Amino acid sequence: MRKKRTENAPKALKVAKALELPPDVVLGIPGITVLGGCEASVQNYKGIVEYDDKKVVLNTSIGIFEITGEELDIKTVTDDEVTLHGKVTGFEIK
Amino acid sequence: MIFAFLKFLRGYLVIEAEGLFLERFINLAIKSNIFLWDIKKISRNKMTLKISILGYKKIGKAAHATATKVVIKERRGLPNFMNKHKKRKAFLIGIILFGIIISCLSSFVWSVEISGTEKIDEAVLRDELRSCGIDAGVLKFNHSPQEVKRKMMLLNPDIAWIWVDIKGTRAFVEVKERTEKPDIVPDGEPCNIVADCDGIIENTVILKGKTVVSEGDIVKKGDLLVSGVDDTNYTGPIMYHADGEVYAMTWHEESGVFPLTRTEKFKTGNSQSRFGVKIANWEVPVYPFSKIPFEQYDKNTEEKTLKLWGDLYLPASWKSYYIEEITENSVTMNEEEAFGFYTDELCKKMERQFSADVEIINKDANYELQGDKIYVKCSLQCREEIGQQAPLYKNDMEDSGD
Repeated sequence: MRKKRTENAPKALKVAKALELPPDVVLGIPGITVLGGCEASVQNYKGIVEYDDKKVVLNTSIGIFEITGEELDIKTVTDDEVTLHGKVTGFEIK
Repeated sequence: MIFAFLKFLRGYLVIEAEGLFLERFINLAIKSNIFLWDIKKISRNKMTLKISILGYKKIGKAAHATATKVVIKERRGLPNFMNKHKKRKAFLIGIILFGIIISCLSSFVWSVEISGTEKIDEAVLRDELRSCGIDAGVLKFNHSPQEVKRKMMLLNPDIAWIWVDIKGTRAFVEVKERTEKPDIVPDGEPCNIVADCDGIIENTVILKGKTVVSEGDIVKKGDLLVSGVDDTNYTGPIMYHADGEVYAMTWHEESGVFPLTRTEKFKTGNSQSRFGVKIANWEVPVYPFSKIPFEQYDKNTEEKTLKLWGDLYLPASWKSYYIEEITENSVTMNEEEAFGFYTDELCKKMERQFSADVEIINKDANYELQGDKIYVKCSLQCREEIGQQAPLYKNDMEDSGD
């Protein structure tokens, strides 16, 4: 069976960095950006697992992303990026 | 911003989705390339979201697969707006009429702006442009710049180059004037080189002809410098087109009687900004309405023509003035100061008249007091080219030959 790309993520990340390539694009690993505690966006996610106004759980290639906050709504959602609006209080990778 | 406008233009729906697997519903929708935004959860199994009209048509599959009930709450955007007002005929006619009027009015040339004229009178140029079909009130489509250029060049011999550019409702005419050609004796025609002004010959660079003067000679205006006639013993006189440059030391003088007191303008530091709107030829003050509070002032005017988006210029302009109060002081100078001041002025006046190749070597000035006035004389020693070609006619030649 083909090995999962992300199992070698730390190694691949090193290679990508050595070649000065943007790792998120080359490896398809997820990234999270929080803007001033009122906007958060996750790139390269796989799917939405759970969503309500207190908690958003996303499935990604390295595990589960859990973003907690208040009055969260999904501002936009596309194939590879979710943008959340609302008060972001924390996030966790499981 | 632009996305919001596009969304508005294409129309979108606010829908309410109700079901147990809302996350899965979103995932499926995204997988089938439906764009969703502003998703808000209302309760455990209810949420509102926005979706494009096209997306809504495709959402049925995802809704069916996750047993989600989808209800349209609101229709928004331009298509919905049009549907709503379909029956209001006057409104529709108004919109169409507005579009027609705007497009009609913007297909005329409203003003002609001319730039680049120095010697040519603008009014004359305007008349000539009118005869070529460029005028305020003319349709802007049926003219070609090439055609106008050709006609204008024939009409006005002073134009070296002209271009007409129609931007929006304004026609910009750019003109380059022809500089008068200098008096040059045509190549091959016999000529002499004579002195242009008085001076002492410094050096000569002769390409063709017989030099009559040598270094250190004093010449007067009109004196022969290089002869175009060579009288040989064997073949008789031969005539040349004399060519070359003759450099000489020249003196230029300027003098004048000036008063010892002069008025000087000072800015007092008091200033005021004023604004106004100009519609056609009427000017309306906007701020302030009062009269200008200064007795003597400098006025800086700036005019901005108002325009609608792009290049649709309106016949109105916004004017802003900057007014600075000035006072006139009469300054009495002692003779030294006056001498320095007026010498500078005289020198500048002379330098303005010089052509570019004149090299100033020495400045000399003196003065004499005449009561409460001062007489200043300033002379400049220069090095310049004084040779000027003068045609030599065959008739003269024959006369002198006899």
